[in-house]
Amino acid sequence: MTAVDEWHASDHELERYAKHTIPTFARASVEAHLLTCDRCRSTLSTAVAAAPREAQTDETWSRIADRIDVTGRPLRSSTTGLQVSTASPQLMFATLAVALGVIVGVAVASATAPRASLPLFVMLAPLAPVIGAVLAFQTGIDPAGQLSSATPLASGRLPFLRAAISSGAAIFAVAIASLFVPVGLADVGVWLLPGLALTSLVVAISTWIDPKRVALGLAVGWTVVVGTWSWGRRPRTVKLDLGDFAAQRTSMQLLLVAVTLCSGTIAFARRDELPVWRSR
Amino acid sequence: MSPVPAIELTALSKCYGSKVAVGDLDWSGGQGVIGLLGPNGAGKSTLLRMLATVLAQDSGSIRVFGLDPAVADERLAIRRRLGYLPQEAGLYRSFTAFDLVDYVAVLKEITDRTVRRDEVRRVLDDVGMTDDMHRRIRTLSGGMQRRVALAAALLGRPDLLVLDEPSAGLDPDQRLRLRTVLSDVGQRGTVVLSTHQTDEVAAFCQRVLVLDRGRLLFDGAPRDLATRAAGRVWVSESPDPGAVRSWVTGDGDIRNIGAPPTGASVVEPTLDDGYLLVATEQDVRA
Repeated sequence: MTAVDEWHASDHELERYAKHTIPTFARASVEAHLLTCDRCRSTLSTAVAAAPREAQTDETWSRIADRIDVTGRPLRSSTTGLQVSTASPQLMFATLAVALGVIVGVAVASATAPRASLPLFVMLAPLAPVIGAVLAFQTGIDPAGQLSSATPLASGRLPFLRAAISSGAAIFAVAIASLFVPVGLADVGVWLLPGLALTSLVVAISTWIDPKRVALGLAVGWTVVVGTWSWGRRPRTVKLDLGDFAAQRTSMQLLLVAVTLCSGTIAFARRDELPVWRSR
Repeated sequence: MSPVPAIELTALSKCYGSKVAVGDLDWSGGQGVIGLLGPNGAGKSTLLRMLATVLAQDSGSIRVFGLDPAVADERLAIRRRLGYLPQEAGLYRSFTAFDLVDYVAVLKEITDRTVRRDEVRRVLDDVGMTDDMHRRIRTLSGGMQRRVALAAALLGRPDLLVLDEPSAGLDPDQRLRLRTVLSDVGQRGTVVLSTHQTDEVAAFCQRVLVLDRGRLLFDGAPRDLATRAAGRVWVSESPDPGAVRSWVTGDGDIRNIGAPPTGASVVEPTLDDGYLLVATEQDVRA
């Protein structure tokens, strides 16, 4: 008889085997041994019989219920802030609508009124992520509605993560829309920097007042800036001449970067002060 | 050292424009079930929202477990021990009851999946929704949706439950179950609820507050509220012009409250009588 033949599963291993808490590899080993070892089978059956029947039933039921309750939505596995943030169908639909609106709007303008497509793009592109952020800060987009408002995750991290996701999706949509207008990669500063600056500015100011009002004010301001730039120009000049647009200048781009960083810092520092989640 | 009361309000005020929702309120309370009574617009929901940390006061102070909801870290600490049922929850209708409560459990930082699911099943069972937990919200009746929202408020065995009309839309059987659940929570923590049902207050509240136009008119045990009307309730065959309030009862008699005339048939007061008397006296003074 070899040493391997004399090996037996320990009581602890058999107990864990009975409770289904033994690791998979060890389980296979114990299972293979049990097939050929009367002694361990006997020990195992004694251990199982000794366990309170009610506890076994509870455990079995818990396992069955756990399988049944996996409905695939909204939180399938271990949770992270990202999963919670994306668990809002309302926000996902609204973000999708904004993203499609920008892409389709610019594409249609490009096909039907090519000369107007560039000013339209320059106007819409920075506003799309702003709208995304504003959507994320609305309590109405939460699947649990007002129920969520007094939970620990309701303020702070959750709306900011949602704003980042929603704005990020909008920026991605704008990048796709840029394919329909004569804006090269070098011209990305025309829309991306203003978009980031306006979005972070909205988020920062939103820690004092309702983001809808802030966004509306900035949207009007940005529309005036773009309108002033394109107004009165001959269509063919507007078409490709981005060079004299203020957002193309280095000094303006540095200013926009500074605004983005400062606003982002303020927003982070005041992340627990969103008035929409604790109204006045 | 005396223990910190669960709730402590000092000169608390909240206005909407020129309308005073809560005016200069001083109050403190601890363990047990506390009922808020008052007519519509009395300031009950506003007070509950302030207690639930979702609404900031205009002036005065709120302390919950000795913590200030205006300070972010302290607000977070309060929310970790709080369950809140708003008047209108606004649940997403395509989620199932289980998914929705599971989602709120995550918002309440119950991150371990097994623990969370067990807790979700427990609270849904507490409110009698076990058999319907996998139905979508849109297929549930108003009362069932209310119970789902209540289940979410019960997650994590909170030390403070703030419930805005928890029994609205519930049938008598469900109300009975609600009383059992809330009484259980009141044994170890604090439950503050608003209601229009005086029988509910009489059945399981240890303390009752009567609010009207943001002012606290009464604070005490339910039986003390009823006692307020002792010797001031009488029945007659026709409305008594000397009564401050008269109404027809189920058996056709006229029940009056106020200063009874000589020889009036004075009866034992109920909580309803006490409440109506307190509220009516306030009306007369106003």
